[in-house]
Amino acid sequence: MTWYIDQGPDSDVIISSRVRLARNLDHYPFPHRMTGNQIRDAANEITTAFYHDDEERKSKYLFMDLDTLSDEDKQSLAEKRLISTDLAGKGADRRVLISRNEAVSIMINEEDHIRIQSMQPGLNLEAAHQAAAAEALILESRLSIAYSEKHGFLTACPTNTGTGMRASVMAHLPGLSLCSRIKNVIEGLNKMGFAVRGNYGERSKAQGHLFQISNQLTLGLTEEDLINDLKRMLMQLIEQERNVRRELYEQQPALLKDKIMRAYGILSNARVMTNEEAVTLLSNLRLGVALGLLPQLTVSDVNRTLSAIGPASIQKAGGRPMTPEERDIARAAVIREIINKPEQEE
Amino acid sequence: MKCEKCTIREANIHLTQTRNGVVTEHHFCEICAQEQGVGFNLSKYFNSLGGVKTLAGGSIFDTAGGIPAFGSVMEKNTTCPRCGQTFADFRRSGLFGCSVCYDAFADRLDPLMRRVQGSTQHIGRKAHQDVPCQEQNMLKRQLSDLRKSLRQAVEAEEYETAARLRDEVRALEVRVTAADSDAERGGVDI
Repeated sequence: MTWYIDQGPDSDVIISSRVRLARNLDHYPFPHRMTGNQIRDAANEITTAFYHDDEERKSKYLFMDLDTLSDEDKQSLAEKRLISTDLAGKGADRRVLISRNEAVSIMINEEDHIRIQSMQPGLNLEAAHQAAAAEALILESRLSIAYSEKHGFLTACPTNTGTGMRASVMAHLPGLSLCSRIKNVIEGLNKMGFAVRGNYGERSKAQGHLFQISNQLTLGLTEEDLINDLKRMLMQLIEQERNVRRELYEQQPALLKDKIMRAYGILSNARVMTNEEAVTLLSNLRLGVALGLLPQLTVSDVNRTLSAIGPASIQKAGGRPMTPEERDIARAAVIREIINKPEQEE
Repeated sequence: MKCEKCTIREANIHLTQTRNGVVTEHHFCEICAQEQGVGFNLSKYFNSLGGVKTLAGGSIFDTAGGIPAFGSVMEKNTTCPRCGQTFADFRRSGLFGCSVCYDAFADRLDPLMRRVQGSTQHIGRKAHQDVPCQEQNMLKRQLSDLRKSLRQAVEAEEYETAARLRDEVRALEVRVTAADSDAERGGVDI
C-alpha cells in the first residue's frame, strides 16, 4: 500500500490524509537554539530510543542522515512529503526515519526535536492519527519529553503547543476553482479556524487546484475533537465540490469535456513538458477520471503520475544529472508511459 | 500604580501620547492591555476618557512586529534562565528557545495563547497516557464549550453571565481533574 498512490475513502476529492505530532526533549533547547554538539547528541538519543535494539523495528524503519543524501535524494523525499523542505535545507545532524511502506516518517531536529507524521490515502484522518499516536507513545515512554499540565506538549512555536497535532488533507478542488468559488471557500475555512495552503505546504502556491487544509488550533481541544471538527467540515466541502462538478458538467458538458480531453491528448502525446504544465493538465485529467469520462484510467494512475514528475523524482529515476530541458523530456516520457499503459493493455 | 482599566492589577504598560502638543499618560496592566487588544478599540476607549482626538490606529498590538502603533510602551524584558532567550527575542522570532521559556514567560503567555489558540489550557492527551476514555472526553468538551461562552460573555461585557459561567467552569475543572486522576490511578489500583 502506498498512501500517495492508492485510492482511499472519498479519493475523488481527497488525495491523502496526514497527521503530524510534534514532540521535544525537555533537556535541550529547541533546535533553532541548539549548538552543533547538542543537535548531534539529541539526534543520537532519539534514534537510539526509537530503535531500542529492536530488530523488527530496524527492518521496518529506514534511517537516513540528511547529510549523507544528495540534493536530489533530499528533494525527492520532500516531493513525496516524507520530509519537509525545511528539513532538507537545514544543517548537520538532521535525520529522518521512514517506514518501508512510506506511511510513517519521523523527522529529527526540524523546528521541533521530533515530528512524527503518518499518512493515509483518501480521507482517513483517524487511521493516520492512530499510527502517529502509537509512535508518539513509544517515544514518550523512552525519552524525557517536554510536557506541562497547563500547556501540554511544549513546542518551539506557540501555534503547535498543546496536542502538537496538525491534521491535514490534500484536497483536489477543480470544481470550486473553475467556478471561482474557491476564494470564498478559503475565506470561510479561515474564519472557521482552518488553515488552507498550496500543495507544498507553507508559502507555496496552489498548483493543479491542490490545497492542503489543516486544523489551526492545537490547544484547548482534544485530538479527537480537532479531528472530528476537521472531518465534519471536510464532509461538507467534499459534497460542495461534487455538486459543483456535477453542475459544471450538466451546464456545459462540451466545454468541460473539451478541457479534460485536451489535457488527456497533450499528456498522452507530448514530448517535452514542464512540471507546472504537467500538474495543471493532470488536475484536469483527475477531474475527468472522477467524472467517469476516462474509464481506462483510475485515480491511482493520476496519483502515481503526480508523485513521479517532480524535478528531483525525474532526476533520480534518470540516475544521472540532467539539465532542466532534459528533465522536461524525461517527464513527458514518464507521463506517457503511465497514461497510455492502460490503453495498450486493452 | 494600579491599572486604570481594571483598577486591581499593577500597571506595567505605560503609554505616553502626544496630541496637539498635549501629553497624556495611560497605565494598563498587561492583561487589560493585551486581552482587550483584539476586541477592544483603544481609540474608542481614549475618546471615552474625553479630551483626546480620534486616533488613526486601533489597538496597541495592531502592528505586526510587536511595536506599538503610537506612543511608547515600556515593558520589562524577561530572560529565560536556561537558554537565555528574552521575551523580546520570542516576540521577534515567534519561537520559544526551550521548554523552560514557557515557565519564564508564564505571566505573559495567557493573553498570547488566547489570541493564537483561543485557549490557555491543554485538555488533549497527556504524555504517556493512552487514548482517553469517552467520559473524560465528554467532560472536557463541555469544559471547552463553557470556556468559549465565558470568553464571549466577557467580550460582550455581559459581566453577570460571565460570573455565572466562571463558577460553572471552576466546578467542571474540578470534575475533569478528578476524572483524570482516576484514570491515571485506574491501571495501577485494579
